Amino acid sequence: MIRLEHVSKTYEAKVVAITDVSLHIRPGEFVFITGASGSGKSTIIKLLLKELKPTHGRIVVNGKDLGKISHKQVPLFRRNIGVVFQDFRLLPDRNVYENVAFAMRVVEAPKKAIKTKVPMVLSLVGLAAKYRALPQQLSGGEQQRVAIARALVNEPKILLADEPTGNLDNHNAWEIMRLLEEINKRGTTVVVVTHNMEIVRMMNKRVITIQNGVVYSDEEGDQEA
Amino acid sequence: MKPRTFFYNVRQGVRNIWRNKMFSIASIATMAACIFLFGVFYSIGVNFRSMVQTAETGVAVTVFFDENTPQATIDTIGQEIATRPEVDSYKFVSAEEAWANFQQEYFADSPDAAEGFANDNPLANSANYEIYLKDVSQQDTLVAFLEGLDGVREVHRSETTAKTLSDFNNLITFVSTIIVAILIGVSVFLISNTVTVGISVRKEEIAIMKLIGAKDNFVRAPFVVEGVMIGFIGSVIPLVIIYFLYHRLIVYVTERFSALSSMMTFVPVGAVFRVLLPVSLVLGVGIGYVGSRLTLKRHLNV
Repeated sequence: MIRLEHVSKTYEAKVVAITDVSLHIRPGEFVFITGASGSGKSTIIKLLLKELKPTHGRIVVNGKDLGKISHKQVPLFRRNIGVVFQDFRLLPDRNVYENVAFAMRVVEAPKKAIKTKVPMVLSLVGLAAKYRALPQQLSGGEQQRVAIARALVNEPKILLADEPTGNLDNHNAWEIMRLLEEINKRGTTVVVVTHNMEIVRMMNKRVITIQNGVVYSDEEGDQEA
Repeated sequence: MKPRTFFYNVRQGVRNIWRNKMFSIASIATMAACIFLFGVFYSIGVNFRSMVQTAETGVAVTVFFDENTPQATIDTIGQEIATRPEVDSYKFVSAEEAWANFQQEYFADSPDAAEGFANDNPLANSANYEIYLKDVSQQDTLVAFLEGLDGVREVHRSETTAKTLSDFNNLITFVSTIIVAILIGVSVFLISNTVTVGISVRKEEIAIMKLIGAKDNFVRAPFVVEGVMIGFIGSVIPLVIIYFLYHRLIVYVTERFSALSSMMTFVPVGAVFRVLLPVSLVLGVGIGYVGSRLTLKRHLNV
């Protein structure tokens, strides 16, 4: 599903983000990528989304060698990956329904499909009743749920979450993790980048630790936990 | 692009215009000024061209022959004239016809005065060819040619208002081209600015769109729609104004300056708009399209 082979990334100012990272994430896995700030975890997410090109190495996602897909093919590739950010990245001038529907409009989904799918996903994340609310009328946890609904609505095979609980209190952070676990149980591969070690320990999933741009450890957890 | 995507992008484009109201209004106003001036200059030009053409139909070059030139030579001159590209039409006027025309023109009120010449045509040596030109600006070339022909005694050219009108028309075309070119540049610049502001306002939205798999054209389309709509609105407004102004101006000039109106015949508004309408719309929409595409290329790395 996701394979990084000897991947290195050095930014323009000769700042080394990751060096010789190799890892393999299997379909249906729930994986944490953890490490201190600046360790290179977010660079991995950006590389997986083809936002960045690796300086060296090969990345394969969903069977596609990212080094070989053209600029034109990138949008179609990204449609199979859902992405969630620490700062939610919702459109402030559109309500909950419109924020989720936006993801389907972008991929030119039929109107009928949007009308069926959006309420379904909103009810999965527990926000069906608040579909008319604007993002600023929601709590941080609720905003992140909207972001997850938006990431899921196009049924991606992989969900990448970059510090999804970074802006949330403990209670909401747990709610989000439970939701991601539920999504994973439905068959979506979930990769969560976080530095919240308490959550990582409690979830008992596979943990890849990045330190100074290299894979420091890769520990299997109990995927059924 | 699917129809629903097209309409979605049109709605987004309209939203962009609404979000950047001030910039959009400035762009529309500049575009309207550009198209308005273009329309005004075009209308003036069309009317001048029409007047020049009317004047040109009365412009004739007259060719007189040497004394006792045989008819065969006159016929040869006629054949030479017929081959010239400047010539629209020509006719032979015999000495008798020339005298008859003269009498009609100058002795119409006192035919007795002409009777003294009853058997002695004073214009016996005035047989000529009257040549009508396709374009009065070619008169010099034709006259030079005619003067070089054997048997030609004299060539009368017409120094009429046509040439003046033609020169004035050229001046108007020149000045209007420069002014409209400058305004097109300003319009492209302002539309580009408006789209740049739109891009910066929607930076976050564009980033999200790209991350969730929007194709390049989907990201660009609302901005192109914005530019095109600014161009369209900016050309429709001046066209409506010109339509009513032109109509009223004709009525006003005809009523208030009746002496002038007998000299000038205005081209009807319908005839002016047959060309002005499509050209202005294409110009406005084209400027909007080019302005937004150039900006997208520079500021939107999709």
